[in-house]
Amino acid sequence: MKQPRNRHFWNRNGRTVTIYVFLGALMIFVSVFNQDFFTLGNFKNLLRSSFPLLMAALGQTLVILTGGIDLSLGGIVALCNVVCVLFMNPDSALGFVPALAAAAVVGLACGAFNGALVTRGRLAPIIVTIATTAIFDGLALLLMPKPGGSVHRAFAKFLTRGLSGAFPFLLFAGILVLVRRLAGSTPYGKALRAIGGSDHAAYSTGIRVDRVKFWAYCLAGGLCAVAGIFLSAQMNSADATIGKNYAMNAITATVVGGTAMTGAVGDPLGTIAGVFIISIINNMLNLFGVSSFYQFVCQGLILIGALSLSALGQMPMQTRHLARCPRK
Amino acid sequence: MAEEILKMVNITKRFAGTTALDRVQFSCSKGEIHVLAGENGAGKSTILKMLAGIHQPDEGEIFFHGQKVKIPNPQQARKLGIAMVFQELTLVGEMTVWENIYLNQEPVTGFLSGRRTTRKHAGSGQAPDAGRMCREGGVSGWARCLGRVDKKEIRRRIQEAMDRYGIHIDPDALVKNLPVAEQQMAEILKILVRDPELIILDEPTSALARKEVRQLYRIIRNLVADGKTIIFISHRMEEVFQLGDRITVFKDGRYIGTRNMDQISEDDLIRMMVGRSLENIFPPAQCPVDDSQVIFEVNNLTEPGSRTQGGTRLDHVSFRVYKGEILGVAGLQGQGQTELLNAISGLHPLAEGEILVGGRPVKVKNAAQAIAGGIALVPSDRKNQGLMLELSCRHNLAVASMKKRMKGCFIDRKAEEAFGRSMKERLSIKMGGLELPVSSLSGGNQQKVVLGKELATEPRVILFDEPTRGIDVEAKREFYQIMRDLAAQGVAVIMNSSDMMEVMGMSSRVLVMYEGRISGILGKEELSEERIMQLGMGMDRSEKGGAAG
Repeated sequence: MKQPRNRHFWNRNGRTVTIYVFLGALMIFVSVFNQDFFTLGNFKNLLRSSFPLLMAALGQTLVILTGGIDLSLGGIVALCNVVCVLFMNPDSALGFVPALAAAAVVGLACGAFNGALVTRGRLAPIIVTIATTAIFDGLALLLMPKPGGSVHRAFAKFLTRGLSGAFPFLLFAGILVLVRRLAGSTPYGKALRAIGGSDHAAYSTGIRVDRVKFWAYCLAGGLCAVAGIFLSAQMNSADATIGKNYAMNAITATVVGGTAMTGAVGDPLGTIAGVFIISIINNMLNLFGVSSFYQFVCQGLILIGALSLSALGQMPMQTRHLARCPRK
Repeated sequence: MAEEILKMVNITKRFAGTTALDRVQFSCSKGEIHVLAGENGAGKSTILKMLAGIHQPDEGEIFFHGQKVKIPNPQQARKLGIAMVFQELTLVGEMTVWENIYLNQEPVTGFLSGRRTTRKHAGSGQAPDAGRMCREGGVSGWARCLGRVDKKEIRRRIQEAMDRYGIHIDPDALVKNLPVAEQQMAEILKILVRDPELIILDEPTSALARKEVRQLYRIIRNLVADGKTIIFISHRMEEVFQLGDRITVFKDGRYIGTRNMDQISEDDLIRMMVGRSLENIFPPAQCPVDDSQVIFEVNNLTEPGSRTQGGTRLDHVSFRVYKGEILGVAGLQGQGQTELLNAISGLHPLAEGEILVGGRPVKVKNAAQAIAGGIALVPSDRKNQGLMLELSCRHNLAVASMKKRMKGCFIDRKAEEAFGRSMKERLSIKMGGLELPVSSLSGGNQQKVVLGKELATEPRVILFDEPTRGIDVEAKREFYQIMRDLAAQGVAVIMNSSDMMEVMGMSSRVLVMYEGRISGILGKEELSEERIMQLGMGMDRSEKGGAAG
């Protein structure tokens, strides 16, 4: 009994293990050039700078598991960031409470808007979210044409550095556990994957496909709200253009983390590794003094690399030649 | 008579342009096995999908337990206790067997906590009726959706159900890695754990080997003994007579009649289904086999196994096809028959060996080369391998031979339409129109479109892989006639089939495969079901000459 269990473990988690091995190797590689890499302070920094992307990528993972995609995550992050700062009262003791509530409501509402268009409107997610990106970005700019605003000091300090730096970590760990549980071992998560695998099969099994998809977009919106709030605390201000790269980075992280773009297969834990890999590579390029324009090029290459690797891994032997055919 | 559990009255259903069902009726008594028969396109699947909540009737009423009901979606069907095993499987390939079986039905414990909320039946130890426990034990709504799936409990229940019904599948395997027969059993298990009252099986045996078919019969009898009602669609005569209590026949969307099984003979039934009696479903050969003329030859075809499947998939396979001959390919499931056809037709370019068409070697490294060399394949999986389901019938028929109808560098649309119409005539394909998507046709007619597409390439060798799987008697007969015509025209016809009657009825010789090798080639005089089975199980493979190399 032991042997088959192990095989199934590998079937299930092989991708995630591989990606963590890669992450480990990357960390060791970086530490050769940067003596301070394996220090607590650096890890705290790394987590703080990656936190918003971690949230967005977890949301993206949920959506991609259903076989959809959400390109508007960056727009939602920016809009939540702006709304959070606008509703913030830096002077009153509990001045951050309305800001949190407003950002959360806006994030969920944006997600719900995407979800409703995809499920009720029967539109392709990629088109819907390209359109809503423009809407959310536009709204954020309308509300705050120039970066600015100020944030409740104590709140910002607690969120980004509270409990001597442990609070962001605890928050992140808590959200990760919740999302992973949700995606991996709840009926909701099974339904999510089933839809990604075959929405026809899911429907005939009695799953309310539209409802499940709708909530996936809402949850993604909610996670972006968390990202937006964290950004406000981190920057002590808001910037309507902050979300520009989130959608693509979140997709890259998800794919690097082993989630299949076709849906059904994937693990939020892998996505986390994907985010750190991207962050560390960007850090490294900074360290070497490489222009930030090259960072974009690099990211594109990583995305293509990860996609082709996962495509190779998925293809059964007998169909591999089909991919080769057009080249002849 | 027992209580009437289901009654459907004056049901009408129209799909884009065609009337699929025209004021038909159907009723079913509690505890019976009711067979629904009819040709393809008769509307059998359509009416049953209304019960599963997939289709809605345009007119007519459905009564369940005497109450008028509407079934707008699959959830409602489940609430009523109606479950259906569809012809196309509804399993998610990327998920494990256990996840699939209990999909949308998972017993849960509290979210994040280990507290069990559904184990109240666990200790009772009696009546291991997994389905009922599940339905009673589940929490509903939000709490259920966010609860933690109780994997241990699911495993235990699946084990119980498998022991009870004598099914053996690894619950942790990914569905996509299972052979089709096991997927089919998993699908059936998925229905069983939902403990429905009325079970609809839409051709459940078409993908199963004999052993599993017998197992399925046992399961069905068990279910009836438990007081369940079964509706069964089937094309296999022996099956209909072995299992059925009553039979209802549809033809072209109309109700023909309902009979008790013991008051009807096979001939009567065929007459009801096709409107006339079929003397012999297998037409006679039109010309003798001329074994001085080899029109197709394969030498030492070998395909090493892959990492995942292991072993050798094809091992030095050599055979010849003579002029005027239909060569049957038989064997137990998965002994290399499909691999053989795929290798010849260029779908598995990994194979080594020599292929000669009309005495000349043909290089087959991909499907395009095979077609250019005059080799055509009618694949077993028409939906994935044979057709572009969403595209029109015209496009599907023309796609393999597009270049024959060019006007400059564009496709001559008029010529293509004329071609489509001529193919439709030649194969008598029933369709609403050439421009409708091929998915709107019934299975048998879809299969004819696949055949038409291949015939348009004017092949000199045509390979049929399970040509008549899931199609009705009349379409089968038409298919057989076409095969005979092709053979008479000097086309090499090779047919792989798991239907023993078909293999025996059509082939002049039968090639039997076992573990990727030819374990024997049987000529007409020594052809018998026993011999095929013997060779198929790998016994006495040294006997007949011309076998393995």
